[in-house]
Amino acid sequence: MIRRFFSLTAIVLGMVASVAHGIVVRNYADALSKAGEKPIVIFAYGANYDKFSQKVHEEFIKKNKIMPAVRKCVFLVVPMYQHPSPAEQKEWDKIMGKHHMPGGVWSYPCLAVVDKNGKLRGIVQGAAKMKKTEIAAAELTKLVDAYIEQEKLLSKAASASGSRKADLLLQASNINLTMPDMGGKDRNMTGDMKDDIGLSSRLAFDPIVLVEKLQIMSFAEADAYIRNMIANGCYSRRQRQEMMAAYAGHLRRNNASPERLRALYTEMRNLDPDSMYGAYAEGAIALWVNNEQFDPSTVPVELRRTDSDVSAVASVPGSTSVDSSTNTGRTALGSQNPDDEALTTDDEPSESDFEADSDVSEEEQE
Amino acid sequence: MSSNSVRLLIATGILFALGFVAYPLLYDIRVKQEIPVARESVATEEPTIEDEWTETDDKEPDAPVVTTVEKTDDAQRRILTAQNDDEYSEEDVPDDPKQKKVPETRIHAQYTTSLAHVKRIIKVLEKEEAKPYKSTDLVPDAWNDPESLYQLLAKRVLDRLGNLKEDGILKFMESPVNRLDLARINLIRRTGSEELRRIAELPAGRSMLTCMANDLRWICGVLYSGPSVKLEQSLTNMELIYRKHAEDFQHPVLNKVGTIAALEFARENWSQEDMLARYNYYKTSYREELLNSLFDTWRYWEMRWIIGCAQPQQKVGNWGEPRNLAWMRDNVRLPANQYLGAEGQLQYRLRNVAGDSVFSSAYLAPVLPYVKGTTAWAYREIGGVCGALSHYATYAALACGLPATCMGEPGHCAYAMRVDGEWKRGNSIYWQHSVGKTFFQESEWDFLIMTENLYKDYYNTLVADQLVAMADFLGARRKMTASFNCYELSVKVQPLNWPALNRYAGYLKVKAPRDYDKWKRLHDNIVDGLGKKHYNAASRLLVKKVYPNLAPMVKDRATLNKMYSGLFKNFDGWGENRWDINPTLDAQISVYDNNDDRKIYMREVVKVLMGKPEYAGAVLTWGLNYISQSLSGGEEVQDEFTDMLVRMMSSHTGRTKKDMDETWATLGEALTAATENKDRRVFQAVGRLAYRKCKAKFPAKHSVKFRPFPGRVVSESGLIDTATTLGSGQVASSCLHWGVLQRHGGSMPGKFEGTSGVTLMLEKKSEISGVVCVTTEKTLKNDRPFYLETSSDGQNWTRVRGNGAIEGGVIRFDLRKVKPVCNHIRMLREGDKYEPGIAGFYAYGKYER
Repeated sequence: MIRRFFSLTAIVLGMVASVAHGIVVRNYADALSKAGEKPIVIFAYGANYDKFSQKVHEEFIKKNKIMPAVRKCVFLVVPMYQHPSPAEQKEWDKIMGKHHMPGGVWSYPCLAVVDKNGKLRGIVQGAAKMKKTEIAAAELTKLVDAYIEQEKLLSKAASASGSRKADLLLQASNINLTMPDMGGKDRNMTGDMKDDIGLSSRLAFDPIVLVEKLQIMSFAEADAYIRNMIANGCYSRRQRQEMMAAYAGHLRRNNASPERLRALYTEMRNLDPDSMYGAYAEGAIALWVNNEQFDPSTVPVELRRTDSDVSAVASVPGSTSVDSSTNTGRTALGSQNPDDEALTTDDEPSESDFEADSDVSEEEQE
Repeated sequence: MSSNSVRLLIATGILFALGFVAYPLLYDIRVKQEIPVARESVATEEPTIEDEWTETDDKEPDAPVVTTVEKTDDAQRRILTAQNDDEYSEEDVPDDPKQKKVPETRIHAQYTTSLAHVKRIIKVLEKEEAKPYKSTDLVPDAWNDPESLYQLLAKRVLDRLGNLKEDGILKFMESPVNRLDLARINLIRRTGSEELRRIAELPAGRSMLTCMANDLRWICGVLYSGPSVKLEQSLTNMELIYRKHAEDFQHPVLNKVGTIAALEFARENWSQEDMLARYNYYKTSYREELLNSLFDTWRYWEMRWIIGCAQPQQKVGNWGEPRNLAWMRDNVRLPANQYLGAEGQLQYRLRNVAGDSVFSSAYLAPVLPYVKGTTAWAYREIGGVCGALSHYATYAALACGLPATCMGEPGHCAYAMRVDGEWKRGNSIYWQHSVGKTFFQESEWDFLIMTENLYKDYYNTLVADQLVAMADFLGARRKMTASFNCYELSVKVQPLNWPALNRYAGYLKVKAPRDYDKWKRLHDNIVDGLGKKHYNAASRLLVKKVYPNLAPMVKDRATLNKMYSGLFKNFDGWGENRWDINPTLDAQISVYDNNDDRKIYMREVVKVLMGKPEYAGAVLTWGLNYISQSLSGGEEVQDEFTDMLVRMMSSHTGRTKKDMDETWATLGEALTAATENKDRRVFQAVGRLAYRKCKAKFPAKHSVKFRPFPGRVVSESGLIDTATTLGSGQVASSCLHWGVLQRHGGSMPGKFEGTSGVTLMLEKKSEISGVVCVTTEKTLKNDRPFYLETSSDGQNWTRVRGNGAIEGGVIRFDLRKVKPVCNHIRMLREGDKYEPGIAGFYAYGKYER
C-alpha cells in the first residue's frame, strides 16, 4: 500500500516536473517545428538490446530525473531498436517519420542537443557520462547554456554588418559547440562580408595543408610564417595549437634542439592546458625533450574518465557555463587573442533566454 | 502402519547402518584383491554395471553408472597419445574379421533410412536443449588413471553398439548417456592420457575434468564447437579459469565464455595471463549488463569470434586488450547493425596535425597519456587510415559482444561483421579478403560463409561431428567397416562439414588409397554437396585431398576431363564472393605431361569455364600466364596455345552491348594481370584482341595535337604500367592502357610520387630520340619538374632528362642529344603526389641492331 502510494506520488511529481521543465513532444517533426531558438534535447537509448540503456531510461525518464536539466528545451525520447518487431518499427516510424537521427551520435544512451534544422550541436554520450544522472545533467546544462549563448551571438550577428558582424561570428565560433550550418537561407552570414578579421581564414583552416607548406621551409621561414598566422588573431585556440604542433613537428623531424622544442611545446600547452592538444604538448615534452616513455600499466583498465570531474560539474543545473577563462589568454610570445577573453556576464544565459517560445500552449506541454 | 512394515523398516535401517560402516573397509579389500585381476584384463568393471547396461539397452538408463576405476598395473597401462586431425593410429586390440573390409560404396538412395534416423536424433537433441543432460557417474578419482577410464568407456560403448551396424550406431546416439560416453572417449583420445593425468593433478584439475565430463552440453562445447585443437593446453587453460571462477562454469553464459577463452587462447598460442584478462573483461561486462543482449544467446561456436578476438596482449596499440575493449564498450554503444559503418566516427588521416605519418610511432605517442594508453580513444582524437578505421568498427562490435573480424585486402584493411546472422563487408574495396579470424586456417570469404552455414545448421553438424568422433574411435579399435560407414554418413548428414570431409579423405588415403569407387564417390559428394554453394571450398578440397589420389587412377583422358569440368557445373557466378580459380586449374592440368593432352584439357575443360562470363577474364588470365610461365616447347608452342586461347575467348563473345561489356571487362582483367606479371607479349595480345572486339571503347584519335620526335614509335609494342592501384572499375577498362601506347590513344590513371610514375617496357632494346606524354589535363601543374629515367634491366635507372617541357597538357622530353639506349623508360615527378590522367605515351627512336 505504502509502495503504491509512493509510486503514485512519484508519477504525479514527475508529471508536474515535466510540465515545469520541458516541452515534451512525441515525434521528431513536432520537435523541429517547436524548436525555434530553443534547442531540442533528444534522449535516445537502446530500447530492446541494451540493459544499460534501459537502466538509464528508468532513471532519467521514468523517474524524471533528467527533466530539471532539460529546463524549457523541447524534449523528445527516441527508443533505438535492434531487429525491431513490427510493433517496435511502427513506434519508431511514428516518432521519427522519415527523419534520421542527426549525424554525430556515436553511442546510446545519449542526450543530443539539436537545433531547429536538425543539426547536432552538442551531445552527452558514453557510459561514463550517462551512468549517473547528476553527471549527465551537469553536462547537458553546460551544452544548453552554450547553445543559448551561441544562438544569442548568432542572432546579434544576423542583424549586424561588417566587422561587427564578423566579430560576433568569431565569438560564436569560439564557443565549444558545433556551429550551425552557415549556408542556409537564414544563416547566410558570411556571404556579405570581407575577411577583414579573418573569419573565412578560420573556417578554411586546414592543419594538414599547413604541414605541407611548412615542410619545405627553413626554420626561420617556418617560424615567421607561423608567428604571422598567430598574430593574425582570428584563429581559435585549438587552431593555434594545431599550428604549433605542425611547426614543432617540422622542427623535431629536422633535429631542432630540445630547448627549442620545449619552448614551443610549452607555449602550445599553455594556450589551453586542459585540451587534448594541451595534453599532446605535455606528452611531447615528456617524450621528445625529457625522453620519458609513457607507461600504460599505471592506468586502470576500466577507465572512468569523467569520474574525477564529477565534483566540478555536479552542481545545480543551470549554474554552469562554458568556462573560457581557464587561461590568461596571453601566449608565451605575448600575443592576445579575442577568443581568450573571458565572457562578460551579459553573455551568460539566463532563464529569460528560454522565454522566446512562450506561446506554446499548455496542452502541448506534457 | 502394520507391525510387519515397522519391522521391515527397522531391518532396512540396521542394514543401511552396517553397510555405511563396513563399506570403506570392504572397498579397500576389494580393490586390493582385484588388482591382480586387472593385470589379466584391460580394465575391470563391477558386474552390476554390465548388467545395467544390458538391461537398459533399449531405454534410457534411469541412473548413470558409477564409474569407479581401479588401477591397472603400469606394465599393462596403455598410454593414449594425443590424436590430432591428421592421425589415424590404431590401438593394440585384436582384429575383428567382420570389420576388416572396406564397405561397398553407396549411392544417395541407400542413405535414406539412416538420414531419416538422424532426423529422429535431431528431435531428441532439440528436446535436450531445454534441459541439458548432466551425469554424476564420473568421479574425480577416475582421472588418476585415464587409460583405465578409457578402456572402461571403450568397452561400455562397444558393448552398447552391439554388431556395429549403422542403425545400431544411430540408435546408440539417441541416448544422451551414450553420447556423453562417446564424448569422454573423444576427449581422452584427443588430449592424450598422460596429458590428462597431468591436468588432473593441477589444483582444480580433477574437479574441472569431472564436472565437464559429466555435463553433456559443456563437453560438446569443448569438442564440437569448431576446431578443438591443442586440447592439452586448452584444458590446462580451462583449469586455470576454473580454479579462480569454478562457480561461473555453472552459469550457462559464463560457462561458454570460460570454455571458449580456454580453447581459443590455446589455439592461438596466447598467454594465460591475457586469457584471464580477456575472461574477466567479458565476465565483468556481462555481469554489469554492459554487453549487447545478443551476447546471452550465442552458442559456443559463435563465442569464438568474440572471446577469441585478436590482439589480447595488454599493450598500447592493441585493440583486443581489456583497456581498449572497455573504452569501446562504454563509448561506442550501438544497435548491432549500426556497427557496420562505425569507422565513420574516425577522421581519415595519413598524417597527424604535427605532420607525423600514421605509420610512424610518433603519430600517437604524445597523446597516449591523455587517452590513458587507449588505442581506440587515441585514434578517435587523432584520426587514422584504413587499419585504424576498420579495427575501430570491428572492436567496437566485439567489445559489446557481437561477432566481427578484421580482414586484409591488397594494400588495404577492411572488416567483416555479422549482422542479423549474415556476414557483411565493411570498409571493403577489393574482392580479395583475408579474414583475420578463421576456424580452419582458410581465410577467404567463402570459408567464412561456409563456417557460418556449417555451424548455423547446428543439429545436423552436431550429429555429424559425433559421427566423426565415433568413426575415429571405431577406426582406432580396428573396426574399419563401421568406421568407414560413420565417416560416410557424417558427410552425408552435413555436406558442408569441412573438417569431417578432410578427416574422411585422410582415412580413405590410409585405408583405401586405390579404391577408385570410394574416391570418385567422395569427389561427387563434394561437388554436389559443398560445391553447390561453396565453390572455393569445394575446389580447395578437391585440389588438396582428392585430385592427387583420384586423378592418377583415371586412365581415360576424356573421363578425367569430364570429371574436371563437372566441378564447374554448379558454378553460378562466383558464389559467395570472387575467388582465385588458378590453383584449381593448375592442379587439374598438372596431371598431364604432354602438350597434346594440355591442349585438349584447355579445349574440353577450360573452355567450359570460359563460357561463364564471370570467369572468362580470370580463366583467360590463368591460361595466358600458364602458357608463358609453365608451358614447355618454346615460343612457337606458346604462340599456338595463345592463339587457341584467344580464339576460345573470341568464340564466347557475342554481339550485344552486354556481350561487349563483358568481353571488355574480361580482357581488362587479363591485361591487368599481364601488366602485373610484366608479360609484354600477353599485354599486347590482349590489347590487340580488345581493340578488335571492342573498338568502340577506344578513342578515335587524340583530342590534342603534339609534335613527334624523329624515328619510329618504338613504344607501340611495349608494356606500360602505372603506379596507381586499380579499383575494380579501373581494372575492367584497363585495355585502354594498351591504347595509351597506340596512335589513337587510350586512358590510364597516372600517379607520380617519389619513384612511382609511369613505366614503359619496350619490345626491343632501342635508341631513343624523344618521349612524348599526353595527359588528360588541359594545363599541367608546372611547380615541380617531370623527369625521365632509362634502364636496361628495369632495376637500375639513370636520369636522362631532368626537366620535361610542359606544353599545356603535354610533356616532351627531347633526347636527341643524349640518345639513350635502353629497354625500359620511366617518367617521374618531383614533389608531392600528383595524379594526372595519361592519354598517350610515345617513345620515338629506333631498335638497336
